[in-house]
Amino acid sequence: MRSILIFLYRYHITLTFIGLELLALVLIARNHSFHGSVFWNGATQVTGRLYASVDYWREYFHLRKSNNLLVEDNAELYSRLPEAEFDHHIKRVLRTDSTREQQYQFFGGKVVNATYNKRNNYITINRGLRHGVRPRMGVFNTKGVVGIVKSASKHYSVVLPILHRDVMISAKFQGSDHFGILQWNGQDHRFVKLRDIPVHAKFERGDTIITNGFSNIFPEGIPLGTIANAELVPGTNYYDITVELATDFSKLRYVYLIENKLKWERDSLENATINE
Amino acid sequence: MNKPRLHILRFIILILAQIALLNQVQFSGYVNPYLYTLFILLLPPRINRFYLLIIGFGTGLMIDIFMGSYGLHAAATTLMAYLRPFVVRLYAVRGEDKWEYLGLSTMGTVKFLSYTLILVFAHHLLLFFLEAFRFSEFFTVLARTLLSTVFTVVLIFLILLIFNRRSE
Repeated sequence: MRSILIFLYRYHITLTFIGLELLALVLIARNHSFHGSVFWNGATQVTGRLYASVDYWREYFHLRKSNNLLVEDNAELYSRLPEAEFDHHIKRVLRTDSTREQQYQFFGGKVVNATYNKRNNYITINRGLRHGVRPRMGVFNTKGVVGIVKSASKHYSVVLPILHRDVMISAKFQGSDHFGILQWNGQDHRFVKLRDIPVHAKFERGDTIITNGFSNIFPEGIPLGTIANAELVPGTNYYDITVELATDFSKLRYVYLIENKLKWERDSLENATINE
Repeated sequence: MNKPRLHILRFIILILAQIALLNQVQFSGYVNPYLYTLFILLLPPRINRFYLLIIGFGTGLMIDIFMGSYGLHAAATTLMAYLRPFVVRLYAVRGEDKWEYLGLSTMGTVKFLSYTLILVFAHHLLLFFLEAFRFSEFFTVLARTLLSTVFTVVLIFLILLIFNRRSE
């Protein structure tokens, strides 16, 4: 007993050091899952407010860019108005409302803080629980996919952009159904890697990569980027494809969130089946 | 120079500067300076090692909360606080260990810069390694560590030069 006490006293500095490092590692490891703890959600509230005030001043420097973007968005929306379209609609017999149940609902938000040059980046947006944001919601902008909501407080939420180690997005080619996994390798914020595309898939440089809707987070067809380069992984039957991102993470201002009305139903069905 | 009030003030200023200024400036992907490490470098030389560890952990945790990085900075600053007494002993000649505080003017430029370099390097290396958490990115992590360390040390040096002038 005495020798244990002497040991503890002699090495109490090193033991404290090891203890604190373990505590830090536990914090890191625990938050690898998407469900952030109450503590960090509370912290999101405080930091969100701070970043919002920093952003308030920074916003003046982006007025011109924001205006241009809004004009672009408006132009695109105008072109989608019924008046701008040729009517190909064919009336089908017996179409009631119940055949067109709405699955996805969208709402907008503004980025109040973002990084893109770290190994793992984070984006804070000014929409939270009271606006209906929930963890694992998809986020995109007019150019393409931005990321996935990690945690939300009352007014703010934190999004993991594609530029984060833990974000993997199921993707496919526009026009063919070969699909793979899209993930960032931590180097250039404009390029990501697309894995698991088999050797017999046909594609060309410049082809568009879109979401394929397998993940239950994004609906099918949101642009991810275009193929910049592709080479076969030696010794395998798979391509290693470099994709140039559609979204420019160095100038993010406005984003849209996706609420999947049928998410719960699909999740519980899949979980129940897998756990059988 | 060793008044607690001064250290608390420095703590607040450095953390605010880190979050509101440095984290907002987007350098190239390999350069992420972390100026707040200066707070731990400038703590009193004869501080109790146990408190030093706790303060180090707390400082990192504070940054983690603001950056949403979950314990990464806490791990790095704790390592830095643990190593600090060893590095101080490297540069303090036995019997002459009578620095009132650690800084450019007491330690001399060369000693202070190498003291800073070693500790900032250790901090950045652990931080970037935990951030990537993959051995396949070893060389990227190393490059990021080296470049960011140089940047942080230069920044610390410039800031100390400016504030030393003012106090003289």
